[in-house]
Amino acid sequence: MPAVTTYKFLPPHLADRLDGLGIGVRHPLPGGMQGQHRSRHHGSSVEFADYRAYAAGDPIHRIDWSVYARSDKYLVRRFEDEVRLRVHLLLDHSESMSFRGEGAVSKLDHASSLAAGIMYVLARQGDAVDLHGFTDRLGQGWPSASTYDGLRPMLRGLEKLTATGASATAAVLHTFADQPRPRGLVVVISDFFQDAAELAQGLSHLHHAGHQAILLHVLDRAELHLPFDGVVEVNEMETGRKVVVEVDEFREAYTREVQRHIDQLRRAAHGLNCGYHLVETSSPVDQAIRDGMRWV
Amino acid sequence: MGVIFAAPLFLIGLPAAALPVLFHLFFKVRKKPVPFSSLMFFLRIEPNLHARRKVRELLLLILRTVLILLVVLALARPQLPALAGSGSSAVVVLIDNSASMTRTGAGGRPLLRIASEAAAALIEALATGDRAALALTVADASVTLGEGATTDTAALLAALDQIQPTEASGDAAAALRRAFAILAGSSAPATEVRIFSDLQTSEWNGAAETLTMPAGCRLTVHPLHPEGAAGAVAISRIDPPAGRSIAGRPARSTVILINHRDQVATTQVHLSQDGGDDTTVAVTVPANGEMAVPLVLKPRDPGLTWATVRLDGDSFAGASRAGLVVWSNARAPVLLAGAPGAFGLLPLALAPDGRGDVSGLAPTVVAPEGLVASLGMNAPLMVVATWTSLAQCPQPALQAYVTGGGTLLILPALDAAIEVAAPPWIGATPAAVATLAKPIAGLVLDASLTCWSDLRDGAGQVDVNGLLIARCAVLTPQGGAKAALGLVDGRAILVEKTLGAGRIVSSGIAFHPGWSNLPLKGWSLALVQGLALHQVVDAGRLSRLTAGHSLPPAASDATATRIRSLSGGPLDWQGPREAAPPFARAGVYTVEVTGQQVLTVGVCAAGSEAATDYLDGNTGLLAGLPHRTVPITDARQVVEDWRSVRRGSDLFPWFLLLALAVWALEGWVGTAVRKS
Repeated sequence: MPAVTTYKFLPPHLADRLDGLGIGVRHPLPGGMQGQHRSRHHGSSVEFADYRAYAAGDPIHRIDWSVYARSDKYLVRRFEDEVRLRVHLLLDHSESMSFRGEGAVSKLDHASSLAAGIMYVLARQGDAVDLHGFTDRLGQGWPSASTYDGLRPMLRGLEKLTATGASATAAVLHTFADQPRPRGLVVVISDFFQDAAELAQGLSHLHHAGHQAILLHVLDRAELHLPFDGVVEVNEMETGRKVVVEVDEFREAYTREVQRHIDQLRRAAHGLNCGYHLVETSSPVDQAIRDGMRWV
Repeated sequence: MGVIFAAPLFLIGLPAAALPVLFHLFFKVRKKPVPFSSLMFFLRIEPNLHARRKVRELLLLILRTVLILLVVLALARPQLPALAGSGSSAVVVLIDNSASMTRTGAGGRPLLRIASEAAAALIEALATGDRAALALTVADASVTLGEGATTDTAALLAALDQIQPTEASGDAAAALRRAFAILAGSSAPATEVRIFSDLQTSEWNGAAETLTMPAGCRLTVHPLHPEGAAGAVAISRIDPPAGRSIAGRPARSTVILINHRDQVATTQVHLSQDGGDDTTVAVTVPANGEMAVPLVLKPRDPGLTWATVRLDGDSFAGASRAGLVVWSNARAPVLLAGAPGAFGLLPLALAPDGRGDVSGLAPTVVAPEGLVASLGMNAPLMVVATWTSLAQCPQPALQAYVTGGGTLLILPALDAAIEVAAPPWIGATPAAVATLAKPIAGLVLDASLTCWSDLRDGAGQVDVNGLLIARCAVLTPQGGAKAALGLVDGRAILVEKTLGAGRIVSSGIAFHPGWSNLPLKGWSLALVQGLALHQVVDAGRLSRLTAGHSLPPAASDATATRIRSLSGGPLDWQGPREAAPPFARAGVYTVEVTGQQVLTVGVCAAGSEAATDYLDGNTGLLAGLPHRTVPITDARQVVEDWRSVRRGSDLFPWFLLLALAVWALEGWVGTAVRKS
């Protein structure tokens, strides 16, 4: 039995809760690799391809027990006629993501957990996933992996990711769309503090590049409801700008404005057949993944 | 003079005005800095959130501070500006007692009475410790003013009772100076001058820059304008008789009337002589014009004759009287030094009746050698000598007589063929008498000379047309002498020279028809008698003044002097002459020094007081002096004003209203902030 490594953003209890979770696509994907997802390309389906070592999270029913009986190894069979889902995770680690209000963790930590969970689920399904951090530009990223072992660099990378700089999500989406890379599902995890129209343009760019997209909008509950009282000097984390507000007088308009922004983002995403899910940092990660990835 | 507070204890609360500032600072310190992910939504709601909020906060801060200040100050009952605060005050009541104040004002009462009653009420309203003084525009000797401000209100009220109408024009500038001088010497914390006047232009239209008001002094003007004042006729002046008056002979004076109305006025001029002779003349004075009315006095006895002139009809009562004084002489001798027949018709011209009852001149022939004694005994009005007898006269005595004010007439003797060397001091040298081939007209060479005084017309010209000279001795003027009459060819035949206080008239023709037709001319009597009578013999004995003026300066102003009235208002004043008050009323006054009457003064009312031009209180003397104008119609208003000033204006309602306004504004700004 291989040793089980513990990751900060993928603790065993999270992995346990994600075990029964699968991520699928409702729409046919142009995939070059076969997997469990439907493909527009008809090939040799249900044909055995090879084995790979069982990885934590792989469904047990996929273990080839006969091989185990012969070799005492847990091997999982792979079939060539299944299209593999290629998922690109874009994780916002700008300064604003370090905010922690009412949630138990910061937005970045929660977003990292989301990313780790998604990667885990995908890897457990045998789908390929890669990870890119971004602030105001797209980071280098980690190579794609479709096994649990392959996720290790990304999971460790998440632990080393620090919140810094300003974010420019729309620009990053444009950059990502322009880059030659396999088309797949782009999961953007961010607080999306940018004009909804600009974000919609970036999203549209992705869509036209052949990607599908899911926006996981990570917000702290404090960002939704301003749980402060009295006169507050609000310091913007990314720029250092300050404003003084009487929160009680301001809360209603603020909440209304935030909700308007969320609605705009949701409408933009749905308009492009993309997924959108608002994730509060106080909500359980597995539930967020389950709800957020349901769109796919 | 600043704001005082009736409840100053509330001022302890003034530091509370700092509370908004403290709260502001406190909340500023307590303001929680909250790191937040993004200001995107904040700035979307209010792009200028920070700046606008700061401005509104600052405005609110100011409003709240002002609000607390106003409330605290209002509670302290501010009053502005109490005249004396908690201390005493000194006030000078300046009353215009000039003649124009005799006009009637509100209620048909004379303005002076309104002013006096108001002043009395003001003095009675003074608080304990307050000082007051009176000042008058006409320094009336019958009013006891005192030296400075006093707390003796009884004395002040008594002085007010003494104020009676005058017939003089006031000196407002002098009265203001006196008022300011009194207050400048006062130690009272608050000082004020209150003026009660009709502000007649002629008195108040002065230069204010000459007046300096004491620091902190208030000036309040109560203008008292007459109701329905119309111009009227007034006595402008009286011209005394020209020349010397002789007892028993009429003395002709002239009263000049001035009409301040825009229409013709009818008035009667009454002349009341001290002996009881009264005459009345009805005259019509043109609109806004003057008229000269001749008055004839009939002095019976030598010495002072006085009369009063009074106007009735369309006249202004304050300027309708005048005192007229005339000095009359007894029959005076004229000494003729020479042979009795040498002077031709001259004695007859001097005394047509032979006795001098008509001319007042009594010609007496004396021997030239005895002239010294005659001069000492007779005090002649004139000495007449012939060119021939002149040499026989004692020259020093004759020269002294002329220098002392006498008149010396020199003319040729009828039978003389003169060509004498006259003494140089005479001023003329006669040539030999010549009989002209045919009579030559005479010509006035200098009409301004004294010998022509009684013959000059209104234009200053002398008409001697028809004068023909048949025989004469041409004169050569010398030593400052001037030719008065000459032949048409310019040769002088009458020369006049002033010597000391007297004069010498040298003639080249005798007073006889054989020499010229001069004795046949009617005006020759005026010429001859005028030479004798036209002397300033009453100089130093009489003075004619307009009411409001003082005695003219004398050599010794410190001499104890007594002034008493013969007619007009009662006056009996004693003191050094330099301190003599101006004459407040028309009339006749005697001036005595050490019991001797040295001067008689005829005082005419100030005719300018009849004018109806008034200032508005912000012009003339008052233009450069900060003051307030408070019109009044009765004493009650003055007292109320005084108490108001004394008490000060209660600013409480104003502060309260202001606080409410600020409160409303604060609420509006606060609501705007909340809505934003």
